Order: sequence, then C-alpha cells, then structure tokens
Amino acid sequence: MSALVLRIFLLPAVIFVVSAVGIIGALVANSNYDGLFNLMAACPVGYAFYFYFKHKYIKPKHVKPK
Amino acid sequence: MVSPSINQEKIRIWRWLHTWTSLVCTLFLLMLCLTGFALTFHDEIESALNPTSWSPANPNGPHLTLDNITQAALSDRPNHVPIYVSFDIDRPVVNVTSGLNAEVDGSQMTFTSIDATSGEHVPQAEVGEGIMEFLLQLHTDMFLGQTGMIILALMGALFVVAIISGVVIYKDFMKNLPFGTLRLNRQKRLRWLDYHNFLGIIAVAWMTIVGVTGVINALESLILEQWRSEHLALFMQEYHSDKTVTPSASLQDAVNAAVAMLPEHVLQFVAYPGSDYSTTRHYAIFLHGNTPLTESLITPVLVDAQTGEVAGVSLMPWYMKGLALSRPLHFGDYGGIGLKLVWTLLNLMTFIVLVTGIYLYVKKRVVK
Repeated sequence: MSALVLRIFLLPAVIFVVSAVGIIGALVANSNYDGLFNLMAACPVGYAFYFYFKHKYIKPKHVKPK
Repeated sequence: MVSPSINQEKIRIWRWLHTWTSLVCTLFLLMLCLTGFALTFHDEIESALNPTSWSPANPNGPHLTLDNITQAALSDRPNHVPIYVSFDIDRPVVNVTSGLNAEVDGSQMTFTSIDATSGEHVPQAEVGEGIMEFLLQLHTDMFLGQTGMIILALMGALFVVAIISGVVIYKDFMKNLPFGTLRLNRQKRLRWLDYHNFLGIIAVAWMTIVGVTGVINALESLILEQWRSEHLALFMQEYHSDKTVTPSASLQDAVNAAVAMLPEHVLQFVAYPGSDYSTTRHYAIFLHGNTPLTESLITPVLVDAQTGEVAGVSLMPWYMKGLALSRPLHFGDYGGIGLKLVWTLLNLMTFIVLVTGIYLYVKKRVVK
C-alpha cells in the first residue's frame, strides 16, 4: 500500500471504525459502557471541531527567509 | 501500471455518478434531515408540550391484573370486545384497543388508556401529537403510503451510492492536501469544497449506517407483510380453526405462562383471538428482549384462550431481526440524551454536506 493511500485514508478509516464501533457498541452495551460508546460515536464531531478551530485560530508558523 | 488517462477516465465516471446520485436524492435528504432533527427528540418535545399533568393514582402501589384492566377499559362500552392490549414504556399505563368484534376495520376500533395502579381512565395527550405525527409521516412515506416508502428507499439507495462514489473521488481530491485541510483564506468555492469533503469523509460511518438502515426502514411495510403473510401466517395456520372462540382463560395467567417460558423477555403487546395478529383460538402474546440490543426483537407466543396453556413459540426470521435492529440504529434513540445530541450534530454535518454540495454544483454550472 502506498504512502499516499495511507496518508489519505488512514485517518478517515480510523474515524470510521471508532465511530461505527461507538454507534453499534452503544446498542449492544448494557448501560455500563453507554457513555464510552457515545463518546466514540461522537468521534467525527470532535474531529470536525478540532480541525475547524485549528484552521481558524492557529495560524501556520512563518519560516524566516534565509 | 495503469496509465494516467485510464485513471482520469475512471475518476470522471465516479464524479459523474457522485454528482447525479447526490443531486437526485438531495432534496429528499434535506427534508429527511430537517424532520430527523425533530424526530430524534420526539420524546422530549412531546413531554415538553404535555407537561406532566397526569400521574398514576398509586405510583408505588401494585398493578391491577390485565383482566381487571380490560374490564375497566370496557366498562362504558359493554358491547365491545378487547382486540389488542399494549403498554406505555415510561408510565404504568395499559392501552386497550376494542371494537364490536375482533375482525372490525382499524377505523372502527376504540383506543382506551387505563391507569394500571387504579383502573381509572387516562386522558390522551393531545398537544403537539399532531405535529409529531405529521413529521413522522412526512419522514417515513411523505403521505404517499407504500409508494412514498419505496421512493424514499430508492433515494436512500442513491444516497449510499453517492457516499461510496464520494469516498472514491475523495482520494483523487486529497492527493496533494493533508487530511483535514480547510483553506479558509481562499476563494469561497474552495472553502465550501473543503467543508464538503472534510465533513463528508469524517461523518461517512454515520451517514452509511443511517442511510442503509433508512432503506431497510423504508421497506418496513413490505418486510412486515412478508412476515405476516408467510412466516406468521404459517405459524398461525397450524393452530387455526374456523370459529373465533370467546376467551375464558385469564389473560394475566396466559401472559405469566408466556413470560415464564421466555424469562429474558418483557411483555410488549397482546392480540386477542380473531384479530389480525392472532389465530381464532389463541392469545398471541408478543414479548421483546430486556437489553438495548434485544428489546427490538419480538417473539410471539400463542396461548390457548380457553385452557391457558402455551401452544407454541415463533422465533423471528432473519429479515425481521434486520428490520428490528435497523430501527434504533436509524433513530439513535437507544443511548439516552448523549447519543441524541451526537445524532443531531452528525445530522447537522450531513445537512451542511448536502447544502455545500448543491452550492458547488450551481457554482460550477454558473462558471461554465
């Protein structure tokens, strides 16, 4: 598998799996782990906020010209 | 090695597929998203519109037997017979559906709610119920009955194709960009494109699950009909006789016998002899599981309405199990308020993906 595929699909794949496990896990779980699975299901929402604020408020560092 | 021109040709086909499958289903999906926002919180909305003016007469007291409750429900309708008995989930209320006989049409049935702790009548919640029913029907069949359900199932299938084709072209789009790139300082179209791709790819698990379960739910009436006309009918036929019997065995004892047979189960509803969901000589007692996973799985138990003896148990076929499990996964109502909020946020993300998709298509046409 090329590095390109890994770079493009690895993170989305992780989000996909964590989110899907959370959504289905909450259905299978018997109350005790509901909170954990809800958090896992919320994984995409967390990523969306993270990247939005990263791009909005954290400016890239400027490289000083040599 | 595949030549770049063949790759470009494939990508062009996937793009075409993504554009047109999305465009055809987008308006329907926008309607489903908007109604879905309200339906996710239907319990909360209904209880907010109907503040708890009613409470049981003896909140901690013992419950009356089902025989006493049906008797109380029919006290002012002596010529009626009970047809179905069902139960509220969050309050001790038993609902008795009755009619002149068990074979009458649904429009001629009467619905009475009884306080299980006292036998008194419970007033029906009216405020807001009409609005939620309107939204639910718009969401499930757009007031077109089975035709509407089939149209929505097709739109759901197109949505799933749009998701798959979107993931395929995402690879081509992201070749020169790191994951999560939002070019907020670039022109408006690029910003919207980044939001569309980014929100689409991270909510893809949720969109796929809700899309696929939506298609299954849209086919509900066909699946139910299949179950009723084949599986359930065959099961009932074994015990069928020509004349509808008048029940003489206690309903409470019949329910106790059914629950004793399937101890991990809880009573969901009862169909009387002669009704659509039973035979002419049995109580059909529908039980469901007692865990979040199994509470949608229904098992009917037939109990002889004259002797009170258990006659048979019918396990759900695979397609009914699929339908039962797709309901909670679609509505997200199985994990409390936390999961409902997650569902709402993911629904909002899908809504943004749809709106940005339309914007990108229109903008592209204008530029051309």
